Amino acid sequence: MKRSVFTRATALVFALVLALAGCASGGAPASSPAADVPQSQEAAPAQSQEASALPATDFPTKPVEIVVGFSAGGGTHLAAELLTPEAPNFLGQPIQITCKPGAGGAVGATAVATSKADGYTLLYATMSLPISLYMDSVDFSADDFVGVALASDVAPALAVRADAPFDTAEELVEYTKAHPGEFSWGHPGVGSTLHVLGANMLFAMDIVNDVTEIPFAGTSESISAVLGGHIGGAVCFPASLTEQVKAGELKIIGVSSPERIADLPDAPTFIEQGYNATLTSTRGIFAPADTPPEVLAVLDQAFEKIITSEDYARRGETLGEPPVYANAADFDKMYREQCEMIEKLLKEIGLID
Amino acid sequence: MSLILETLVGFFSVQVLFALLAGVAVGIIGGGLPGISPSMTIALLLPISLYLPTTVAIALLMGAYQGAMFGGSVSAILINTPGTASAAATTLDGYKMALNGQAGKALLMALYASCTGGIIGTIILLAMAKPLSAVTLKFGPPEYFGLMLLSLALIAGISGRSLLKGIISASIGLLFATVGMDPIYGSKRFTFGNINLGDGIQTLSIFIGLFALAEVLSQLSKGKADLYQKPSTLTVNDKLSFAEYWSQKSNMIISGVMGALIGVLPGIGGSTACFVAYAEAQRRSKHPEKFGTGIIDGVAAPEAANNAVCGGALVPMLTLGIPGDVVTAILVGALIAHGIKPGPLLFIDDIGSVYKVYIALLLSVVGLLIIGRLGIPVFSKIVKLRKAVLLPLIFIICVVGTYSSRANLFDTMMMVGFGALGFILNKNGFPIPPMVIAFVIGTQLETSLRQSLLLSGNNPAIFFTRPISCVLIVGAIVFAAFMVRRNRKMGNKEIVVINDAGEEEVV
Repeated sequence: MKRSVFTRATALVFALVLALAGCASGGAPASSPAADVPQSQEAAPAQSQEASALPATDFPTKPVEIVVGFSAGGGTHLAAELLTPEAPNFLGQPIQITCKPGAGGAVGATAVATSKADGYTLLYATMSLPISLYMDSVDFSADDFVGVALASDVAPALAVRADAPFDTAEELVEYTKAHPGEFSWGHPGVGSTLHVLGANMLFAMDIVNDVTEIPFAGTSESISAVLGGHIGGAVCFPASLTEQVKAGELKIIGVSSPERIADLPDAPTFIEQGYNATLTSTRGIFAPADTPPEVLAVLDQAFEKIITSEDYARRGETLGEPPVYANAADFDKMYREQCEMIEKLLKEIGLID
Repeated sequence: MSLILETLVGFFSVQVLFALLAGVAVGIIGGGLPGISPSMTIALLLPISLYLPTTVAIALLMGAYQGAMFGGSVSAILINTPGTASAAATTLDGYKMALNGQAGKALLMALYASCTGGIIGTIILLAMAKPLSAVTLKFGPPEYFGLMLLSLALIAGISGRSLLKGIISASIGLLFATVGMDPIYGSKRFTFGNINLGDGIQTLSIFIGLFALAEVLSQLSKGKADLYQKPSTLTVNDKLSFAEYWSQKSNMIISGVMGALIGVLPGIGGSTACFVAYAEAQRRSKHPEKFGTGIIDGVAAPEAANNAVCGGALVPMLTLGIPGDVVTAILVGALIAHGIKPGPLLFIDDIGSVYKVYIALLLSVVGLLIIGRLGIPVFSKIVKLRKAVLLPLIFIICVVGTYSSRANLFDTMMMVGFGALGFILNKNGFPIPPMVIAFVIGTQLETSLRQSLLLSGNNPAIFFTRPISCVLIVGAIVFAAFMVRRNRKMGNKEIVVINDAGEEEVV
């Protein structure tokens, strides 16, 4: 009899563990911020200090969920996790990250666009949000979201093998004009941020129609193909390039950024070489458009404190995230401009009609 | 040499060994639960590891990596639910062994094969990291295509008794692989406007539906009396003797080497490695017809392969800074956070850190052995449950597992659909493995084919002018011919079954 009790207990524990695992991963590796940082109740959210014109709100009274449209453990998810440790201090409630990957972030964006606009469900999105608006048939529009805070801004670079017969953007242009179709470049998938950013660089150099574009499943595959000499170049973020550049295996043709970047201080930007490609990849927090203004004000203040905190900068550095921040008003403006610009860009480079 | 010893001594502290064992235990649990992939398990441990000293953190993460690779086989064997994609091949014989009352034996075989594979993978990493990384770079799109074609040909051997039904099943799998975004043009194929299909059908929905739920349905269809019967599993010999383990030595070594070599190539992944190892073990075997009926050979091959993948996948990660899969991508992040920069300079500037990774990987095999031995008697209690209790539990696992991987209910619906499909195919004698494998290989096969043709300006000569890809493609054709011939031979034995219409039919 004892045996059967034990068997049943095992089964029960097994089922419980599963149920828990299901919930836990729904909130994805939320890394239980409560365990990292002691819940400090005294540090109440700093609402209603400035926001006197707005109706009073007791938001938030429960944990705030941030949806990430990419896989758990990926770069975007890890960057979003940077927000969680300081949330109980500055927001007064923990932030829970949920990964809803699919369709280049559009699955997660759809979930947030259709969620209740009460501030408890937010979106952590990359530039793939404006891209998916125009390249996919998605069920949401640009106006379904408002920007809450800019959290990250990373510049992409075009890398080629160190023994390539060109060193600068100008030489690449000459080479491609002389050998049309011979230079092939890789990116991690059609409609990905790096695809659009890369196409923008080639468009700025006016060689977009003289090169061969090879989509890969990810950045690793495309860098590996460049190193092996199977393709000419790849468009990547600096974090995946720095070691190869230091080792002299790869060289940078140009960085798409207004200024040189800290990770690749010797790499010239496209703009200093006379090609107008300065587009970078931004990431930030969005809320559904109908979120009440007083709730948005609370979020705006809380995210300012979180993102500009020392802890955030220190952790972000290990992920290669430069410290940047823009508040709700500025970031929302940035987002609207980006939407317009990307639609125009996608048409110009022929990715949409 | 003194540096190696110094590093080794650094591992013998309470914290490091505790982290190692804890990592293995968490890995086994995470790997065992469908929907919690090895990458998710390691992503869960990552925030903790950032607060730990470097050696402790590496021990924790490596332990979890090896543990998760074994953990997947626990649920694969006990409830026909591959806990990880890499364990899908283990269900083929492992679950049959459990049905035959040999769950304990299957688990022990899986554990020992995992440990053996883990050691083989580590040795290959230790001895050949640099030369292998050069080989990795030789693999461009045409070589990937050749390799995928060869895998597909090898795997045709698992099609069971009827080659025709196997081919039909594989074709359906390839068709499913085309759903989602076109890898080259980015246009949507067969998504019916549904955004949830944008990335294609989730592998997890296919695996869990076709293996686990289909099995639940077929158990249910056996009638009520069977459900309440007390399982009588205690009569069979459920121990694994040393002679039985030793009989698998060449199988495990070959499978381990294959796993490690496939692991070296970025983007292919553990499940392909395991199916190839399984198919190759069956091809070599003197009694290939016994595969799929529940023999230890069919458990040893994929389990040796998937743990060897760990060592292999670390080759491009450490030497080139290129992570071959999601797990190594997270590991790169963890190492960088600890000031270790994987890449070509690592072996020159910071060889001590490389040794740390090697030693952690090797010690985690020992940790896996200890935790596995402790856990197996507990895990195997599950088979002593009555089906009336067990089947609903499995169903819950199927639902929770498919939901949790993307927090998306659509994936669960797909799983239910595939469960029904698997049940129908089973009933009609269509083998499931070719469909699953074709699905897994299909995307990469198509992508590399089309990438190659883009590179060559649509000239198919590219596949034959490059030596590696030429050899692989010729190999694929030879293997395919071999399979057809052997299938004819086996077919001549004339297995007569009664078909649905009640007529006798030669399969």
